[in-house]
Amino acid sequence: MAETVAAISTPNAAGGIGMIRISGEDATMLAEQIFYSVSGRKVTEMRGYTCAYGTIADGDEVLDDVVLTVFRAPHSYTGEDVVEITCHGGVYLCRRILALLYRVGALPAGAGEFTKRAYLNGKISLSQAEAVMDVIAADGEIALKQANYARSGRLSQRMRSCSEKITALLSAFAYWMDDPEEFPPELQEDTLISELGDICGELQKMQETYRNGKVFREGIRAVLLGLPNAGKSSVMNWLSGTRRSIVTDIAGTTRDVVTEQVRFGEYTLLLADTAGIREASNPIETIGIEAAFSEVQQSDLILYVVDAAVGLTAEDEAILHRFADKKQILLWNKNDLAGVSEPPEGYPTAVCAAKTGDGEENLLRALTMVYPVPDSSADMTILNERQSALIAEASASLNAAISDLLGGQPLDMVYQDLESAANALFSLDGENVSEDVVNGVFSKFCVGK
Amino acid sequence: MGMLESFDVAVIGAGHAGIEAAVASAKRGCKTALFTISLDQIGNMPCNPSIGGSAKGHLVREIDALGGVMGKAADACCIQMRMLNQSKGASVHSPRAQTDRRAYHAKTKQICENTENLHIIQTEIADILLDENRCVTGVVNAFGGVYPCKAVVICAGTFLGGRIYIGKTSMESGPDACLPARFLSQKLVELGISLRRFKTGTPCRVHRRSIDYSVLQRQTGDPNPRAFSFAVDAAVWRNDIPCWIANTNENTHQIIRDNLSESPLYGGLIHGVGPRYCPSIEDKVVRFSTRERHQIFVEPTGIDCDEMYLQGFSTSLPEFVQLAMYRSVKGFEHIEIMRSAYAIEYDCIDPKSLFSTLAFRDFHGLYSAGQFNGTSGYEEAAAQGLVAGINASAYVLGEEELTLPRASSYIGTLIDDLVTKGCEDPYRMMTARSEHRLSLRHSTADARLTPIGRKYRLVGDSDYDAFTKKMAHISDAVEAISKQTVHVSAAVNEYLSAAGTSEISVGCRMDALLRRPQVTLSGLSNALGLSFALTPDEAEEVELKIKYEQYIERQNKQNRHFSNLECIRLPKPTDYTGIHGLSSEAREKLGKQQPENLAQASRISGVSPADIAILMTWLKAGGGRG
Repeated sequence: MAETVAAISTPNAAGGIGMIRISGEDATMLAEQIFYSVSGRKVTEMRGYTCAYGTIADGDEVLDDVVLTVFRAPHSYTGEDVVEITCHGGVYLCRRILALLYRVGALPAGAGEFTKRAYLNGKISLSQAEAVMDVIAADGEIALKQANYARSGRLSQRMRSCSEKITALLSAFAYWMDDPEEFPPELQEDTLISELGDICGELQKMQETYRNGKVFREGIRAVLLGLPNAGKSSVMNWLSGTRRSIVTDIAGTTRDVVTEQVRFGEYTLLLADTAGIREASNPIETIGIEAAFSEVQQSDLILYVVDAAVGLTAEDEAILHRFADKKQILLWNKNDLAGVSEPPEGYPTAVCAAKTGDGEENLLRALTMVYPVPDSSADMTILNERQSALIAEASASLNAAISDLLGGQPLDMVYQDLESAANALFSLDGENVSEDVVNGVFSKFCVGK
Repeated sequence: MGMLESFDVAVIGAGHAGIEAAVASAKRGCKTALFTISLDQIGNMPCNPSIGGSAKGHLVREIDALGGVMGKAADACCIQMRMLNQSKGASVHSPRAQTDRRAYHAKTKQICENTENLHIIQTEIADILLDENRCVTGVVNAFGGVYPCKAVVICAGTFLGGRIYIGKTSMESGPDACLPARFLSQKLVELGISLRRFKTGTPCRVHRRSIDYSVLQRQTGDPNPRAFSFAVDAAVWRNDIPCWIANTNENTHQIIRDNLSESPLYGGLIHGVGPRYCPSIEDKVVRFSTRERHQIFVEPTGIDCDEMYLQGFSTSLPEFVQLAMYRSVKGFEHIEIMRSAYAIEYDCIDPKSLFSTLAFRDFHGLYSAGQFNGTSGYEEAAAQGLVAGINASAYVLGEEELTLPRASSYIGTLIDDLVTKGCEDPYRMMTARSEHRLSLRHSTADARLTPIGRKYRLVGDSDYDAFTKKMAHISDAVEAISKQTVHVSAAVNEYLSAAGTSEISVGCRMDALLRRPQVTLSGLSNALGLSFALTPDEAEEVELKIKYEQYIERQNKQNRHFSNLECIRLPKPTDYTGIHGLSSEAREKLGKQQPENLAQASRISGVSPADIAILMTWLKAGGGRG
């Protein structure tokens, strides 16, 4: 009946295990899309009170080994179908799994949502009704405050300008449908496609600010790259202060992606150590290298480790070039050894010696160069996960509109895409699209047929 | 007071709303009276001589699918039929007919006359009688005659307190020089119904011979006209009468600007709120001052009548200004005005005082429909009339009343908009108003509504048999196509490339190919040597069903939240002041509007998602049950 929602149910802090709960009639269907059980059992076919062991994967990238538990309505906490995914702890991992669930169609659960549902489905006692209402009311107030705050923010103004542009296009469509004799020039295919492209670009820029803001809220997703034996695992150990990665002198010993959370000055680094990049000689290593590349795609920052004794090779430069769209810092490593070369110009560089632990201040300086600490927080704190998800939804709808236009689909389908985009943006403010479109028709066009 | 005949249902007004209400009520077995101020004005078209148009055409087809009158009557009086928006996608295709106005009156009058249980009476209704429980017990005419009845449907159109304006002169009048209804407004106010003033206007009618058609653009009907009605034998009467397009010019606009002070609107005489979608020419010139010209459509009002209607040229300027401005238009230099343009102001209600059954909230057995509810347009009126007629008779018969969800139809959307949001100016249906647009194609009206029409006994056996067969043909063909695999062949690729789309190199499913915009069912079937034995209408539905499926899924996903909320009903009346946790704005607005379900509540501005969640919780806790 109600939408299927998901949320992280363990505290928002590092811990041994984390749990993501999904509740609603599509709970098993959504979980099935991201979970691959070892036994091959389908989540949708699992009975209540049963578990399955398997992996959560984002496309080809395996995120974690998890245990998945299914509860069938009404025998669950909320009284609906519930799936609980128990993964290895850590805020970062939980959030990625949650983001995956959003992508396949789950909606963010509001504060007290599971309890509310439990209550609505008669799972908890009536005497708790008022407490539940208080929780919701408080959440509503917070949301309202946030919305009010967001309204005054620069980002929200940009967002509003996007939704106004889309609404104007929708009004032009609506006008044209009601007055078929007049063709509004803004609906010329070329004009329309370029306008949609502009709006998409603007939304992407906003997503960018979200990502930048996220750097300070949630940490920088950094990946250690470098040729075999450049010293990545030593760097990892140096930065994390633990010996999580296996360090040997034999090239190719690190095969799995290891994630570590490290506080570094103003910055939180979410560090992934990867297999050495080079042609793999055995199949296990091939998997590791593929995982490394996919990890790079997901990351914000590449910490590129170079053996200072060897210097920057053509191979290094090729790899750096391949990921030129990512932020990069060169770690000029092993400078404790004799006969090292000078780091090259053109890259933010931190000279260090992982084994002795020298160079921490150099790395911090490099990080400040790459991620300047913002003067004002106005531009970055506004977007939360929900807003970002809605903007992503709007972008996706606009892209669908563009490809429909290019593919020759009829305009009513394009209209639907635009309406979805506008709905996503408008729902940030809780306003009603259709009323604005209708008002737009009357205020902007001379109707009269 | 003298006692006259008794009825189950009394319908006040025999315009487009009243006709549907009365015929539906009578067909459902209620002894029904249809009261009109003039028998010669039944089914009159006091404004444009056309039925349908964007979104309005959808309404007409929905009315027909439910078993109403308008579609069949319009087909029988059609003199030109066009499908609008042909290039914009099937969901916004909308049929529009030019109709013979006098034929339409005669046809609808005869339909009423031939309906069993339906009694047409020429008289002015002046009062509505209630018992101590506010249940309707009868109506009283202007001469004091009492007609006892159990339910009333008010379809008063623009007659209540009607006043027309031409220049600075105004007088009491109904539309088309009819008598206005002078007494009922006062009585309604005494019953506690608050009224407000809306206004609308109509252009002049000019003599056919006084226009130079050689300088106008000609507009003709579609080569293959489609009827409004879903009946198997449906067909339009004729399709051979052209319309014409003229344009205003700078000179016209200057005449208007020079005489604005003569306008009752700009002179401040009219206080009624006019329709935004249908502004007078003076409004257009003032508000869109940079436009060099405005289109005027010259529409014949009938085949044996020389009056021509000037669509897009309504005004309330004085007659001498009308003449000057019309004559400034190329082709109109010698125009002869037969009926002057005028504005009309009338009493109507705030439709938020109605339930979505169109029953008044504070009465039993009192319903209303049409312009009296604040809408505009024949089609909007007829749509409401049908629902009000069904429900007034259901009330009398003790049956469940009909509420059409927004997702079911434009009719449902129209009524939900009215009773939830109300309207600040005369409400016109638009495709943009429906979030379910893609699934509300005009050609799916029967699939959506005929079963409901059948349930309410408005769809006869033979029509219903034809309907179930059609549905079976469509679903069989859709299933067959979804199972059909297309192998790579020269014939298929030849067809695909001729259609302007890419060839296939591996086999694929037939429905996947059909989703390409360039591919048609007939073309692809030919190329494959398949035949599905479908009528043209059925074939079109099969094709559209497949082409739109994925988009409709997307649409439904987006709307699911509201559709779910629509199912959660709120008790009426509800005291919102005592509900813990609601914001004060929500308390006030919910209390005032008394929404029927949570979806309606959520559409009220100022009611937040948190408020809705609180209402859900409150309902679950047994709120409103004691």
